Amino acid sequence: MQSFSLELYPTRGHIHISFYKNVTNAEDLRKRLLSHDQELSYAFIDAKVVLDQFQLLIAANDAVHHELHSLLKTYNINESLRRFGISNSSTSIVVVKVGGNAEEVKSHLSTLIHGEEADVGEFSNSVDISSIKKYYKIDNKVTDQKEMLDIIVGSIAIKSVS
Amino acid sequence: MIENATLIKQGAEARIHTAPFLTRTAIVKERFSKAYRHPILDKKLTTRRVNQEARCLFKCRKSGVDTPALYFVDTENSTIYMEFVRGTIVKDLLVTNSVYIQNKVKQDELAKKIGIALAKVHEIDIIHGDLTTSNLMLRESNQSLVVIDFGLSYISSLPEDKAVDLYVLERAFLSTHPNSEEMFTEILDAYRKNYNASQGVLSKLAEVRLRGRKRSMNMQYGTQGKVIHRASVFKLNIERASVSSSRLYTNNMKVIHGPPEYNQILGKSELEGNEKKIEGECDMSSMGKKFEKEKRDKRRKKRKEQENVEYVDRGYWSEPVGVEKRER
Repeated sequence: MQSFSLELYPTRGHIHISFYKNVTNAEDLRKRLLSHDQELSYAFIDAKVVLDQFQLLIAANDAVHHELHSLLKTYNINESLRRFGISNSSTSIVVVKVGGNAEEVKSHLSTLIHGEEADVGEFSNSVDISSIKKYYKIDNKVTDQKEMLDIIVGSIAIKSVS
Repeated sequence: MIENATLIKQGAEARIHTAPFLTRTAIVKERFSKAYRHPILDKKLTTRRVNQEARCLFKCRKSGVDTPALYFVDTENSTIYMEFVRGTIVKDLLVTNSVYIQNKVKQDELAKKIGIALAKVHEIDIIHGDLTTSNLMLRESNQSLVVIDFGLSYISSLPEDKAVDLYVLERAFLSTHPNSEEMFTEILDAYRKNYNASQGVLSKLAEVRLRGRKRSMNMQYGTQGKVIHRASVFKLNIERASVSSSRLYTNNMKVIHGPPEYNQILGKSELEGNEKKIEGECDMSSMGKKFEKEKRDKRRKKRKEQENVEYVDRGYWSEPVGVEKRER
């Protein structure tokens, strides 16, 4: 697990990112999420659609910004959940948590998720480029991962504008 | 404001800081409010400009133009967070770097990159609005050309706007460097090769060069008096006239041949076919008067029918007969 600070909102706490491989209980986790289980106040993300931790940080920063300024236009997260959330068949999972104590988050997650924790830098191995290109509407000509990440980050940022 | 920000530049519209941002270094561009504007209007204008800048910046990035990557837009504080590009500003290269000052091959290489980048920007109908050599950079890592500062950018497909964009860059080039004419020719060459609709823009550029950046008021009918030997002015007049009153202008155009330098400016290829009649001279003032008189007569006739009152013609205005003057 790795923790990062939000420079813009230092009082909101740190952002914790963990990566789990060979997860066996994704179906169970998903079921609990859909039934609003309060214990699971984490973002469970399918590692397929995560290219880099910077993508997660930008998204988390944006989410915190929207939360604190109460700018959320909709509470409908159906589409996002389907695309970025875990599915029943997910085996690689990225978990993001805003705020909270790093040690507590770590130990809590290890009881929740049945799988092996891996280094955060490793999730670029399980990435599915074609679905990333589809979700972020990236031109097929783009092949460089760095450029792709720039476009992903920009897409997230521009969402609050348009 | 973000923690640990260091101010690097302050302009008339915005302050530029650098700051650590989510494991990277970001450029933080904060538009500040203007005390002389009404607060509500100020807020509205600033928000709109921030949004427009972010949109244009990202649209370019997405279409393959190298620009700083957009990180975060904070509409509430009118701030844009973007990638901190490590590199050199083209202006500094041309003014201080001896390699670029002396080496023609290097210059042409740079000019080609600029031309290609501009072609891409215009291809997606974005007008940069402030193309100067200070707003172009060379990235340190891969020497790619980065277009920065989209603060005055907007979306338009008009060749006119694109031509003005190029014209602004040309002026900037001519003022930085003695050899820059050749370089700008090289830029236009690359632009032409990489942008399909460049022909229209380049012929517009010829017009813009003659009249300057602004379309001034004397392009309108009647106000100029005589328009002589001015290719650009002429063409615009006819365009405008064909929209507002084609009959009047095109039928009354007195065509004579202009002096040789005038034909040279026009160029044979740029204006051909139906635009040949543009070569010439016409007295716009008399035409304007005639046109106004027609309009006036029409208006009076209409009023007469409506109110059933006789009017005395006093030249530019008229008075109704037997009706007392209105109280002011």
